[in-house]
Amino acid sequence: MGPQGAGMTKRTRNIVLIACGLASAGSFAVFVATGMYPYTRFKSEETAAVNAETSLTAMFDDTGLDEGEGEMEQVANVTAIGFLPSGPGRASISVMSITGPALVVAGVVILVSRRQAKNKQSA
Amino acid sequence: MRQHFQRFLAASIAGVVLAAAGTSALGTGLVDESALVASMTAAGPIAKAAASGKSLVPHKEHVGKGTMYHALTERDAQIYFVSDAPLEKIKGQSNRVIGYVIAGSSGSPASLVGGEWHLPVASMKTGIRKRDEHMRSKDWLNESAYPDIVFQLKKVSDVSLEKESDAFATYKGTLVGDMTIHGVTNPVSVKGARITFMPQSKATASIAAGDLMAIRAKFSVTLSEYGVDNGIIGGKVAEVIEIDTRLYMSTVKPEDQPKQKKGE
Repeated sequence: MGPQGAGMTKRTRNIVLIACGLASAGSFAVFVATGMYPYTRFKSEETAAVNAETSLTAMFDDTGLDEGEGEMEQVANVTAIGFLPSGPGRASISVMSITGPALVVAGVVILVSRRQAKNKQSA
Repeated sequence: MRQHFQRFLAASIAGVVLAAAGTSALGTGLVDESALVASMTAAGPIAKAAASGKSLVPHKEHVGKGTMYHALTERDAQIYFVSDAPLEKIKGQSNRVIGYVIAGSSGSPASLVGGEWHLPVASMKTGIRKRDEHMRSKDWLNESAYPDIVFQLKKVSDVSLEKESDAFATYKGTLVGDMTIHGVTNPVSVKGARITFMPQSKATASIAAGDLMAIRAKFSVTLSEYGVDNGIIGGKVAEVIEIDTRLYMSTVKPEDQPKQKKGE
């Protein structure tokens, strides 16, 4: 491999490393921005329907029914990239499933480029 | 160098595959059948669902014993549960509880005579589909064999009037009954439950037909006492599940209620 080839390799390596870094950092940023849920989740009409209160709840507001207990909590109806995937398909998108392959690719690129450098020295 | 690289590659791929395989909170495990049998108590007959699926056919011994209130299903959330384990906090809910309760005499309506509620396991949602599937599986609540969680109310003790107006009366008491989960029945006593009665008025009629009633109760359930004994319990799923219920009921069955739009 001549000097021009070695230059190409270095540039390609840098591009791949930057892409891997961006993908990892991007997934982590989305994870943080969407609430740092442990597992990836998506909004659902079903959850929205349960969470949508009818005026029944309002009607019993001042009756003392909830005295000392407060409002009943709800399951969050959000779309969030979790740290881990929660299933197949789109639910497999997560920090781990993006960062993991990115680390593998980065590792491969670094090792290959080091080996090429070594070969070049010995030649 | 090559060996190191191969090990690194293998470990990385294994990690990603494990993660992508859906290491959701509920994995596989074993049900301890001996624990199931040991904690089982004699359960009364379970009421059948009406043809509509929105109410229960009351037990014969309850008919004519007092005013009957039916759970208003498929409206507001009725059950909220939390598993707070060291590795994960799981929250779930349902608005598909069906059932009925018989009020006590007019002098002490909160001294409920009896009742029964069914919570379909299939209706319990945690916000993650795969986890819901695990929850319904044989390793957990085994929905195919035990489709409902059942609470049979025997009585209400320690009843006291807490708040009253022309429009409502709220009582505090202890719900005493039997809880059946995963085919195992245990006696349950829920202290500090609140029961509110609200007779029909112009204000209530636009929201739900009939005299209304609501029950708010918080209690906990220990999974192993119901034969749910899984290797994951303790780490990702708590041994004790906290449950919060708020049931709205009416003397008019849900299938006979005028259609209600959400938000109205």
